[in-house]
Amino acid sequence: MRTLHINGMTPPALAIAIALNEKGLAFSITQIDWRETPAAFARFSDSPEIAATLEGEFPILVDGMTAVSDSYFVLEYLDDAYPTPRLRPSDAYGQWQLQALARFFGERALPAISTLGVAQVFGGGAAVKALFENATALTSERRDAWLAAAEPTSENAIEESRRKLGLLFDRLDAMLVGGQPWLLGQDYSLSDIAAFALVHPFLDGSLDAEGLAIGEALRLWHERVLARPAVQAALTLAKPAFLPGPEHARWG
Amino acid sequence: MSEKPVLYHWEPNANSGKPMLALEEKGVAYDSVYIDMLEFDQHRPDYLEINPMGTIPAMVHDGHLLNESTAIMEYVDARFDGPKLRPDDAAKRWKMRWWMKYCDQYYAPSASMVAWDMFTGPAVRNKDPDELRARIEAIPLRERRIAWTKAIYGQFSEEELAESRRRVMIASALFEDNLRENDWVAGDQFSLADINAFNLVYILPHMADTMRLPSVSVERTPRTMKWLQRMYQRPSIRRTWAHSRGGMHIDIEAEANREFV
Ligand SMILES: N[C@@H](CCC(=O)N[C@@H](CS)C(=O)NCC(=O)O)C(=O)O
Repeated sequence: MRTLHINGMTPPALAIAIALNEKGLAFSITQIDWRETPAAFARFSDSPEIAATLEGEFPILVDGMTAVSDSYFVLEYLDDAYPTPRLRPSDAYGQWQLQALARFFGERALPAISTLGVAQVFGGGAAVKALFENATALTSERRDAWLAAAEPTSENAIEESRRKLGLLFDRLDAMLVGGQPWLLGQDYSLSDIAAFALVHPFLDGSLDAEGLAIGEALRLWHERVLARPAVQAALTLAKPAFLPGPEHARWG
Repeated sequence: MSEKPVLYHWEPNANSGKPMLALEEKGVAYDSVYIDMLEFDQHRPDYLEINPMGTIPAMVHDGHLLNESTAIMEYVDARFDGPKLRPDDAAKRWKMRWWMKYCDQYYAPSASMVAWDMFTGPAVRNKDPDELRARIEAIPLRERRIAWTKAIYGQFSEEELAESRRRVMIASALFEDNLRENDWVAGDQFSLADINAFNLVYILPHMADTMRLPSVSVERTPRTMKWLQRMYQRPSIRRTWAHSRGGMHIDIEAEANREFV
């Protein structure tokens, strides 16, 4: 039994769904309305790691007896547990590239996308407060992240998020301008999956890409990833969603 | 066999200590280049050529530049022969990575903010004001520029410092709980997660008073104290700390032989 628990198709959920499809691993989806998050999340409280997640409550993948969260680590978990087809380079340097990039995605890009997504799409409004104020299954940081989503997003936060996404697009584009098909070179990898989940919302119109320069190489790469059957199948599973995600780093 | 890696590091703790200790545990000889963070060596043009992020540590190996200390540790384990520093089991590896992220992005930055406010800022504050301004301008990462500005000019707000202290208290309690069932962070096997955490946790019992942060102590976190002792018993710590220029001010022998009543 393999179940992916999601709050709609958020970028982290999309990455995991794609990786499962690429591996040909059957799974079912449990959709949790964001309003049900506290109660649904409380059911995972026997894992102290999941309970203290920094990324956000869902997605959580339950794979047999194992429950895992924090999307990039879920991708690596899948590649560790189900090595074929391989989604990581076989050499140590290639694996380092994946992880250094993933750190940047998780620490800089994902908080920025969450900020913009909450500002532009989420629309939880005042209801969030009543639902999350006393949500003891969540850490206080996560509760605060939800409560902040009840308020309008500050211009500063939007500005800072656009800056971080600018860094993301530049970095990805720079990796691709040499003409290589995939981010790490000739082989499609977890980096492509993780990056696609971050870039796609700006190219399918879910999020406003105004003011963000998306280079030609990056656009072509996006089309290549989009054309993969595993990606197409993942995109039909649930509607795109944007929810309060990881906080912006408080310290360098 | 391949060429020796070159590691650019500061004092053998925090982010620098991670690859240093991983290399020692793996039994890999490396060339050490000391970068003095308090002299801002990490933002000088010659170092920026090696690591454009202007952060320490960085490693050069097989013609590649590697930064990001935690990712470097995984590289070390994957690339060299020696004892395995990561569990084989996929779920345990996930746990190892989860804890490293928790240290890197929650526990360590919170402790670090308090330490920078109390020690790092004051340690460089008395330099020539023009020099300091120029140093700050030369920092490539905006986030690090902000951190240095706040530390040097004492601009951390009471609120953010209080929040960081609160987080250190929470994280140290969670860390203690995690050791309830196992001797090591990711389970029954020593791993990179222990190395990662050690570089941050070792200092906390010694800073309880000076940092006004009673997070790790025999009374509050006995399992963590025993885990620290197991760590101090590893020869890698002694070898790694030999690279210190300022002295680590901790008696390894005493820590390794601490009596618990
Ligand atoms: N995520 C990086 C962070 C590196 C980092 O910020 N290192 C600190 C020293 S522990 C640093 O370079 N500080 C120097 C500065 O901020 O200028 C890593 O893990 O290597």
